[in-house]
Amino acid sequence: MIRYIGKRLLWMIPVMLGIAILIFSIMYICPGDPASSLLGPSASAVELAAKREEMGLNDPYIVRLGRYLYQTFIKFDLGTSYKFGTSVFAGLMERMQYTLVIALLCMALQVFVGTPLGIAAATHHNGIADRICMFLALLGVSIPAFWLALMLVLIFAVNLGWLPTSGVSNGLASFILPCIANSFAGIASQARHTRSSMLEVIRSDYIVTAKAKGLSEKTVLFRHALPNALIPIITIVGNGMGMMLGGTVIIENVFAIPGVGRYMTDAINSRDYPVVMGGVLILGLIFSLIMLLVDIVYAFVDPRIKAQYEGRKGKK
Amino acid sequence: MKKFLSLVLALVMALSMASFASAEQGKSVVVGLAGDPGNIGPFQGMGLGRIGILFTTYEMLMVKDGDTFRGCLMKELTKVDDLTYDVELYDYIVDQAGNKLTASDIKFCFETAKADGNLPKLSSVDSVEVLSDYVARFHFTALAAGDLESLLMECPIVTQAAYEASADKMATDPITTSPYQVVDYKTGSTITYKRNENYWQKDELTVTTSRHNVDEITFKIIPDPVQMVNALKAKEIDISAAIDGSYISDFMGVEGFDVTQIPDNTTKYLIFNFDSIPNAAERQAIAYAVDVDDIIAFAFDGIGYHAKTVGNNKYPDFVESWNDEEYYEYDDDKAQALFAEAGVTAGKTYRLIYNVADDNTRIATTIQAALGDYGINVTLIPYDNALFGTYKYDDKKSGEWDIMLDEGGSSNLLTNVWKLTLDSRDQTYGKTVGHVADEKLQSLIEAAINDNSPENMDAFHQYLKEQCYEYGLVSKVNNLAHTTVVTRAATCFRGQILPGACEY
Amino acid sequence: MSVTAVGKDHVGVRSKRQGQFGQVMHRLRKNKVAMIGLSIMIVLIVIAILSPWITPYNYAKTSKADRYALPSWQHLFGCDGMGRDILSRIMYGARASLFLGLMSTIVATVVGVLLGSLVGYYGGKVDNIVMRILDIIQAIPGMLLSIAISAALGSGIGNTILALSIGGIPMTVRLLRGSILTVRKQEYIEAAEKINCSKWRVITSHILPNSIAPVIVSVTMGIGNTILQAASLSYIGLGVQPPTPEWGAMLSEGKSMITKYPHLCIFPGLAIMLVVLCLNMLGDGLRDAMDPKLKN
Repeated sequence: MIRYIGKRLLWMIPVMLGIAILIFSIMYICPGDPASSLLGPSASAVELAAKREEMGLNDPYIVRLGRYLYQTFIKFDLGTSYKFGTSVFAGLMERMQYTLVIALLCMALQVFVGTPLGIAAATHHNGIADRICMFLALLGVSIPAFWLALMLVLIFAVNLGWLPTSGVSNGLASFILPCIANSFAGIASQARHTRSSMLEVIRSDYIVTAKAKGLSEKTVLFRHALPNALIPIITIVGNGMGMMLGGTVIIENVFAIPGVGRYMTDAINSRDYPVVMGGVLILGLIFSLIMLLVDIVYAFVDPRIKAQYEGRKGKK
Repeated sequence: MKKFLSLVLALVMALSMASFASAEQGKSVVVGLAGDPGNIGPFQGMGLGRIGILFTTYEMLMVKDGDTFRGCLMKELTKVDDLTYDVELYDYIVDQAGNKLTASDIKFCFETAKADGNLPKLSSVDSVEVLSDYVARFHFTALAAGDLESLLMECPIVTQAAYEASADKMATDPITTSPYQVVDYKTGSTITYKRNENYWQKDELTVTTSRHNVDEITFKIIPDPVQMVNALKAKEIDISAAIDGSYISDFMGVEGFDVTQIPDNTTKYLIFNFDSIPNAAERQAIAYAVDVDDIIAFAFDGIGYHAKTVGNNKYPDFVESWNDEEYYEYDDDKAQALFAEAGVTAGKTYRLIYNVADDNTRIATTIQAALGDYGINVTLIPYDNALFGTYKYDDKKSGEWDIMLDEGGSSNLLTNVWKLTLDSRDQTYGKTVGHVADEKLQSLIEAAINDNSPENMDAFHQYLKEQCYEYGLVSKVNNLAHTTVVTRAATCFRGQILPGACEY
Repeated sequence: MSVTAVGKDHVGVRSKRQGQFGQVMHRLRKNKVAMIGLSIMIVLIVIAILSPWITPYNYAKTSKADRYALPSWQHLFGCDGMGRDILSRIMYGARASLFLGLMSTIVATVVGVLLGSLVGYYGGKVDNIVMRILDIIQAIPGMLLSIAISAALGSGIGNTILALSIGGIPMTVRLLRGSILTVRKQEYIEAAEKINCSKWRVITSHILPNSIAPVIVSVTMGIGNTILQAASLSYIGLGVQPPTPEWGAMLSEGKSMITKYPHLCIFPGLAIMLVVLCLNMLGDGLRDAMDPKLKN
């Protein structure tokens, strides 16, 4: 297992290089002019051309790529944002504090509300609990996040005045509505995946056997069924966590939270190359680490998978 | 799992601790801002968002106060010759850190700003010479009408000592001469200013942009338009210039709220691509076929007025008589006759390119529907901001559009609005944005830029109108909605809220 | 466990007569809920196809008098900010939204399942290389990928589908890979391999039916999001240009009016919900029909 993890960590190097080259190339072919968003709408074409020259945007692809890779991987410098004038790394970390809180709270909600809902639905297949749970799940995946968010604001902030409408200056209270609005879809999808894979397992012969042996419902459920149903759930949680740490633009926009998502989207829209490239690299690193973690958790949950990691030759 | 929970708890606690208990001392105001200013350093480009905090953060040599230009830091302006001016500063200016502002700081600011290249107008400043402690001599390379004022208004001024003491070129913590000092900047969220009790200027000499009627100002960045409305309704913000037109009625004549409407300096206009529509009759026909009243109704909820030229009618060099002229008012008969004259028949297709925004989409759709009445198809090509900027100026992309919906404004002169798209000297390919290479047009605009006398202005306006290379659609109106905490809303000449100058 | 193995063989035997596909369809037809879902989907598709002839109004016809008109007998769903009939726009918008939503979901699923089975079945180097490439692709924000696609390949319906589907592929691969990892070493798979079943056959008739369920769930739930996403593509040269209606764009146009004129958002929102609902009903049925453990 240690060897597997070590190997995967070594793989991060080519992955990071790959991300760097790909994102650089994408930014290179994407039309759009960073100079025009820097100088504002009243700059003329001649003035913009001069600014582009100064920013080194007219150099050939290979020169710029070399400069970028050298900066990033040899000097470990992600550069300075065009728009904010501050270091990309510092900017990203400042935004990350908000995104991290939201991501952790949302994942907690998703796991601790969604999973029990899904289990309840599966064990009462086609019963009332199942119907309610699935209806909620369908609502969850089909209600657009912005709609839910604005409705929550209207009720709890504008009409009742219990919570702030937006911003981050009210401590935990600022995060209640964003987290609810953001996690609804996650809870729904978690519940549905849990239900689906629990159903799958419950129908398996060994569960039938276990039940036939007279084991209590609870023991069967939690000792035998759940562990075997966990793989898709782990995948969903891992993927969801990775995505959420990249920020959720819709929620951040609606609630005026200066998180990673808004930072990156603004940067994409204004072609703030250092932020886009640095941000993608760091988020990619985090994402890869989470995916590694997911694979490790797989191995803990299912010994068969562990065996596959440790070399197929011995097994075959 | 326990570890995870404790991590969440720790985070939550850290956050609630960090949330500051707002000390209720003196009067304070919260302004809702739609755009994120980003870097608030002095020598940054005029991106959206920055303009909203500019005058609260900085002072310039000169400002436009109402309709007149007044010195802010500058006490006296003396002309030496056509391209040389002496600027005399007040001799008692100190910044928020107590540094004295002298002529060498002026030289420093203009040189740094010019080197940074974010304020392109400054390229016509050749050099700044320090004559004495409080007198700086400006040498310009060229000065068209109005250029002097816009140059002196363009560059924010700080002391060299304060600028060099800042770790990040004042990107987050500017120390300036303004009556308000940034005390807290949560990037992307809020900027809080406290009144500087030792503001240098005497009350009777203070220009509008530097008034300081309130103790604390907070700008809150709220990108979502519905949330801006909600925040105002919940009275979390006191004033905002970014309330969508259709929500204005929620605040107009409603207890506890008030609305002030002021003209915006931007105007929407259409640019025709000369390469694909070389026939003047065809361009005029399109102009006559579009009903601006429809546009105002659909895109601006009825709040806006007909443009009378490419630009609004509030500029000092706008010629009054244009207000009474016929200017492409909707005229079905004329449109039909002109389409016939140009040989345009049903089934013809135009490609309309625009910068995506709610109002632009609606304007474009209105134009599409209007031309649809003549059997003419319009393909809409919306682009996001960055892409539009590229397509607008890129010579190679000019084959991809026939009509462009654009907007422009200027802080001082109508000629500066015209210059944006109609002066071929400002394009990299020697034609206007609409690909017109018309020597007469060029000589007329150069004449108007050099001397914006009513005759020159009128000559250009009439020729442009006759050729219809471009024509103005609508001038926008800004809605300032505010709580009654603000008794009188004040704005700068750029249509932005001046929280310090509002009355409370 | 051995019982399962026998069950699989049973499926294998029957498939010789009827074909596995036919068998799945047979079971699907008996599932009422799934059939209801399918019928509504078919009705929606028919509406979409016939929409140019059956909408009550022209979807592009603006009217100053009807701006923001509330639902009434003239306009069942009301009118939008340009006075256009929302019902007509939803009916016509079904064309673009259903087409883009379904097509890109299908593309993402097919590609994802192909890659996922390869990765899950072969493991080792194949797994490592494909998954690392996915790590790289998933690190790039979707919006940027779409802009790059539009810039490099140009506009057009094919590229729009590519832009919409590319984001869904990694998730499908990961889900399938995870499930396959759990079944990969089960006895019945090894048994099938021992009796010299072709690899294709092992994957399609033994591994996939036992591991596809999470993919079906995720795909059927994702379509709502895909339809919403299509709206953002029209600003970067892909997708559908106004005034041609499309549900995602209708929602985002109505967004700023949501508290003032909620009907602008509610009806396109309901339309999307209906599609998600039907697909989920159908997906549940399909999953049950494909599950070898659930034989009648």
